[in-house]
Amino acid sequence: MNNLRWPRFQRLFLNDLQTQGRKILMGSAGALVVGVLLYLTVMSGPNGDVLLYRAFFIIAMYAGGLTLTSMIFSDMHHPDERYFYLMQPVSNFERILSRYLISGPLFHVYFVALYYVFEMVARVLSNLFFGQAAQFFDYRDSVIQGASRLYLVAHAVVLLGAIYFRSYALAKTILSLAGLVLACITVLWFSMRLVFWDYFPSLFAFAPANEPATSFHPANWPTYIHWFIAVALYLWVLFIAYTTLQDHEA
Amino acid sequence: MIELQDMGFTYPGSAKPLFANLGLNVPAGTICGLLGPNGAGKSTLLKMLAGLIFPHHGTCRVLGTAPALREPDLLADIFLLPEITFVPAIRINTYLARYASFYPKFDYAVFARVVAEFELDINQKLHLMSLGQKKKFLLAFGIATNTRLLLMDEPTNGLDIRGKSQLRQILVAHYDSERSFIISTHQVHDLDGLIDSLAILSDGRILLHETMDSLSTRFSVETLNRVPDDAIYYEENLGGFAVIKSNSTGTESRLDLGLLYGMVTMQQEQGTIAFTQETHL
Repeated sequence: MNNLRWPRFQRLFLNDLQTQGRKILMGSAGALVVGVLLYLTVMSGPNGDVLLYRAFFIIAMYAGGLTLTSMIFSDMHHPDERYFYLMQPVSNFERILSRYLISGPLFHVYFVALYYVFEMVARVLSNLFFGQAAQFFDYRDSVIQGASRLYLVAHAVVLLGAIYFRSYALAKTILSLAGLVLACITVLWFSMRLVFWDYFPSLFAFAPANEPATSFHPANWPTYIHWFIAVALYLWVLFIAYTTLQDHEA
Repeated sequence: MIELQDMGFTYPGSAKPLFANLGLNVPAGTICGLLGPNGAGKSTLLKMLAGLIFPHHGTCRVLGTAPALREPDLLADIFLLPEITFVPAIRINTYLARYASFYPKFDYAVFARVVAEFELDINQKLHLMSLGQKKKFLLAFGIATNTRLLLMDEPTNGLDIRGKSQLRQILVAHYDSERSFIISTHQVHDLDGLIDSLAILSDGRILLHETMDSLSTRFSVETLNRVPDDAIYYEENLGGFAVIKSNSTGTESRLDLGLLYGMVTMQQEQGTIAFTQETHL
């Protein structure tokens, strides 16, 4: 298949990895230093039992990963670099797959490994200076697992933004997403207000008759539907990102 | 090699189309000089041939395929040297290791020979090079790719006199019957004695596209003290008048590209252009 030829993809992937690798390593070194300092600052007080990793891991993974993702197609938008990017004899599918892997799943794996290193360094220093350390990082923690899954979804959306927006991709993606969510809520509210007129005792309050309020909560949906919709949306966003990349070549 | 028919293109936001019904055929084994005034669309045409810009209507085929499809196999058979050169911040040998394998016919020996000829240091960082050195490097890489189509946009910009001479020698040495070079430039004299066909682009159409052999049997250039009655075009210079006349002898005459370009643009302005698209090719 001309869209994915293994030797060509392998070369492209290695090239992309080498190009992004330097940024990732520099960002990691900076985050490691700042992270250790923050960890020590928190540990200087009586905070030995806190699940510090929940905040540290999630914030650093989202900030680092999504920033990297938002910049991963910057060469495509740069007026001079654009020709260099476009003239490489590779397919669109190979381009997006390579950069998706680097900024998404592989970044996550790398970040988990990096976080273990950070925890070990920080714990050694914290024990040395303050005789205490926070609870050790647990990747199987349900909060971490949920945040990791959500990272992949957020990554797909930001990847789409990185392809679509020429500059400030992350900020514009967040604003667009916020706008979209707000618009959906508004449309939904207006529709509900009009269709279920009698169920609104006041302007905003929704009180469906004989229905316990909790039945509308997503937590009560059947799990498989929940998963199906999530995976379908995820794949849809990636597909839109791929078609947007094709459009941007024109 | 290149087939353009009734091709049209308008830049977004522009009221006037850049190309209305552009037609051009370039066979394999050609070194074609592409001349034209500023804004005529020379760079745009090269980008179109390279699949970077898509025509709005008409046919554009390169090596039998539409470049707009951006097939990787086609892209591996085209190399574009753009006017504004971008090179990543890596060394020459790193660049080679990363990008040469995208071109199946890449010849490392040719690359080493051309780089040596251009006196480039293989360990030098590309982004620290001068404009001329960057051009030389990309030319060496482009030549070594052995792509069937090599597109060059102002390749002599930034090259010193020796560099220009080296470029001519290298292009002649690495051109064969399967390979075509398209060179777009404002420096008409850089193409003297190098090209075997000439295309002049102006006002969105090809005013002239003809082999140099054909042109030199149709026209002759002489330097005279006065302008003869049968002069088609002339320009005054220090030695008198450089005059283009019809070649009545039938023997090939050495043509001056600058003078030829002046003649075609003058005839275009007067509305007496004597050429049609694809004359004599």
